[in-house]
Amino acid sequence: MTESTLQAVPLEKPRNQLLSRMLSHRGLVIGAGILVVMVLAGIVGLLGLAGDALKISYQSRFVEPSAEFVFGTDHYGRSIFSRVVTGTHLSLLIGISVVAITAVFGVLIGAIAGYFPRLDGLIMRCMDALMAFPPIMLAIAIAAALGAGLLNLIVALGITYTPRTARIVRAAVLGVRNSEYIESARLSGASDGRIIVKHVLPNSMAPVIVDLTFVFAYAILAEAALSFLGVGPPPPVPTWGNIIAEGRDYLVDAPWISIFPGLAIGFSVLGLNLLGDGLRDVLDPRLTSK
Amino acid sequence: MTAGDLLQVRDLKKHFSIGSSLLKSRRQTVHAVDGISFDLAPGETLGLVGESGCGKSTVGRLLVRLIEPTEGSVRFDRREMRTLAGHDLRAVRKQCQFIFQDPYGSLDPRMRIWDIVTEPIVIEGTMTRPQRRTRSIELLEKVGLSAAAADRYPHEFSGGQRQRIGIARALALNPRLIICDEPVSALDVSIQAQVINLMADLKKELQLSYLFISHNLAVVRHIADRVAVMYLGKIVELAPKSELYHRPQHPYTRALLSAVPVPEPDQPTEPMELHGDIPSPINPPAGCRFHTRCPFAFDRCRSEEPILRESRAGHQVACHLDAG
Amino acid sequence: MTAMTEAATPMSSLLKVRDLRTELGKSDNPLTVVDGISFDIGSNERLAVVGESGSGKTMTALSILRLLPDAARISAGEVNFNGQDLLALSRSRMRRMSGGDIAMIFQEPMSSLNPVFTVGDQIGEAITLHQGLRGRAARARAIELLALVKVPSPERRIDQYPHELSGGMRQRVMIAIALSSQPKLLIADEPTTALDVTVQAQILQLLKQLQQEFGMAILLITHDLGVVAQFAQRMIVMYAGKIVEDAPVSEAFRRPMHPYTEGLLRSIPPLYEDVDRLLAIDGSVPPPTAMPSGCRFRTRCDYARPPCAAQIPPLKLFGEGHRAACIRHDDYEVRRT
Repeated sequence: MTESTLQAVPLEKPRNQLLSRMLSHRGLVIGAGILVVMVLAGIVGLLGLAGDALKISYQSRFVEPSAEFVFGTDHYGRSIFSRVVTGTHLSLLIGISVVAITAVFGVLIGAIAGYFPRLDGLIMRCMDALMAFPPIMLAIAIAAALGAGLLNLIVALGITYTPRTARIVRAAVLGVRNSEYIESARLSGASDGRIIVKHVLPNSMAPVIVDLTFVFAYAILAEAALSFLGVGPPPPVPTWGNIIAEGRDYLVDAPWISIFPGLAIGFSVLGLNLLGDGLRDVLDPRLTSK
Repeated sequence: MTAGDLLQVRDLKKHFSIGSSLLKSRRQTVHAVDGISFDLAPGETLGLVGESGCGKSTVGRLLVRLIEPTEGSVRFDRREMRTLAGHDLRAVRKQCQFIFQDPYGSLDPRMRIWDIVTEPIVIEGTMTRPQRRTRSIELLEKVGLSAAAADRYPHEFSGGQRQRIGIARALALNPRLIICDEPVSALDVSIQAQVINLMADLKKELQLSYLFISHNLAVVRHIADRVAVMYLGKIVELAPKSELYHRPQHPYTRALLSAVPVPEPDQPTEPMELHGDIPSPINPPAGCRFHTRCPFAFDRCRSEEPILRESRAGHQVACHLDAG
Repeated sequence: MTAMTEAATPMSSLLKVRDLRTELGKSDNPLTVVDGISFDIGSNERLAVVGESGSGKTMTALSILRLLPDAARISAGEVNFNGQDLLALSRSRMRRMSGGDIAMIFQEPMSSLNPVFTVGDQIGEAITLHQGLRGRAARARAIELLALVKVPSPERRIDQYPHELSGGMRQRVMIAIALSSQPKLLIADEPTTALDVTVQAQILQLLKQLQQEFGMAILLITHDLGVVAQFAQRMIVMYAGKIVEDAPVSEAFRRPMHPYTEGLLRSIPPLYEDVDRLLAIDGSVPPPTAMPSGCRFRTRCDYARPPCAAQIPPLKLFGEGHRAACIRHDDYEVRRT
């Protein structure tokens, strides 16, 4: 084969290019920045560096935001700053755990449904049934059945968001399943397991990663809503939702009790949404609408 | 035909059911491939031509059981493919590889070239990693790519180069037969010629047999020894190539050949007029399937289905016209 | 010996393209996809633009109609149609022009037709727009047009949806829509590439017949030299954004002056004779980011010599309406016309 020994045409380097595309996306960078701040705050809270979130002091009840208490204090004289920062690691914990549960089960269920047409109908009808419930109602029902508490909240939210992710995984797998490189792998004798792990999943991940950042944001919002409604971890655990709920009675006189955890939720969700939108633009340019 | 045949296909059929869902209960059957038979000798190339929807691509996939046949027999090296399973099926498949049409869709975009090329070897589990590496470079060089290609990703290559990579992968397990499904249709003319030349060289060097599926009659003529023409799931004519191109007997073959735009400005083509469009394979016409479009159709064509029979030595045709 | 770089002007030019340059991507680091090309189309001419993927042939057509994708823009040049500079027209006047005096049909008729409207709705819309006919009159005209493009039983077909038609029928419908405005120029971008060979022959025949009947010009974009030979009177060969040859078809096939044209012609397998080996062009089209200096084809050219790297060869006249961009012929007696 002397006639044409061809050199590969180097069009672009995939890895570096992806990174530089990420760095040049403003929304993505801001979103990632907010997430970093959250993680740092979470670490600070976890190590107790932001002060004791549970320390009651009747001398300093309802102190307005000041030099001593930057976010003010609540009706027990607890520092809102300490509580919000400590709450960060709980929100992160809930978000990450829900994302992990959703990722594992969503990918597993979605991949099986997408790859094996025979199981598709049954699995997806079950998922549809779960999706037919309003997410918060479903979470309340599950949390009510299992009892209030951090772990149960995570399980409830995980079950709630799994069908969505499964649906996205399934759609991506369906797109990949009929590619010629899958046929080619099958011809080479590859087992279904190998084909799913080596070929199907790596090529279906982009939309899933994007979706999981949104699940993270929804989990934080849902935790706040559920705690507010009283089916989250019981007080005095300083989750953001609990702090807001406790400030409910003093909204007129001491609005800072609810405002600061509210802002924390707002910022986190904004950051995660920016990150998700950015990742979608970068990883999956076809989905981007102008 | 002869005992030395590498591939023997008899009365192969594939019917797909469509239209069955919760809301639609009426089932319809698509007769994608409807009883075809042919043989392929070692070292021979059989061209399979026809227009879209004639079932030629389905035939290729049926032979390697990417799709399960509804009926019929496929014997590879005298072993019945249809009853094989597990280890035996893998052993036969090893000798019978496939080259796909789409150079962009047939390589996993997330794998390095050398992993793509040697994936069949990994699955077989007969080589260590360094041995595989050596083999991948050997294969890449065989198809005219440099060793530097090994660590790159598919998107870094042009269509023609990707098709070479696909060929290298097909060669990894030293097959005896390669089924090529429109292997050059997606390529530019100048690249097409490179890939066809490469395939011809490999055939000679490795004593390969090809089943070359294409809609391009000129390309098939160049690479094939014998050519089969398909229409609506059936072979209507099968003959050695010069016989088929110079003395086509079936009206459909003649129509196809007359419609090819020849690259000779001073030789205007005069396409034979066919009536209407290709009928749907859901309800193929009774009798000869071509009679609805055939300018020579007579009563017998509408009622009796012509069978493929030898009209001259090695020239098979399914038509009532010359049958007398 | 004077190098003549202007277009070989046919008797009456309908469309004159001069130094057209189209760029893609960011304006600080653009990729030039059409690189200063000039050509004419006569008012009753069938011109084919031939090239491989990445040659810029489709971008040329889209530039003429100003239908470029968002990432692309025309950075220089002039497109003169019937005495009007198309690049200077306002957006609304240009909209009336494209689909009016200039019409276009595409490779994939399915994606150009709206799946939720009937064939009649879509032809009718074009008729209303260009001829002001409505209701019954528009419907009658639509049936007439369908009959004109040889759609069998047009009275029945007119109420069908695009998915009920075969690929060939859909392309006929697209041609009917294009003809509704009685265009002077029809641009056809690979109109038969997605079709089977028997259907392709019918569509080409139809286009040729309509072109003669209505005295319009057709600009056919294709990669298939067989189609060119059977359809066009003149052909332009493009390579990497530039015109490398422009000649009457029979002339270009008999006596190609550019090595690329020659290579393309040699690499087609013949239908009626056996050849031992195809004469392929080595290598592949260089990516726009790594264009060689001088002649862009020199890296793949059998005739390449050191001077080929020095400058981009200009198009020179080699005979009646035959231009080519190759310095190999510099010792050749260039005929002045």
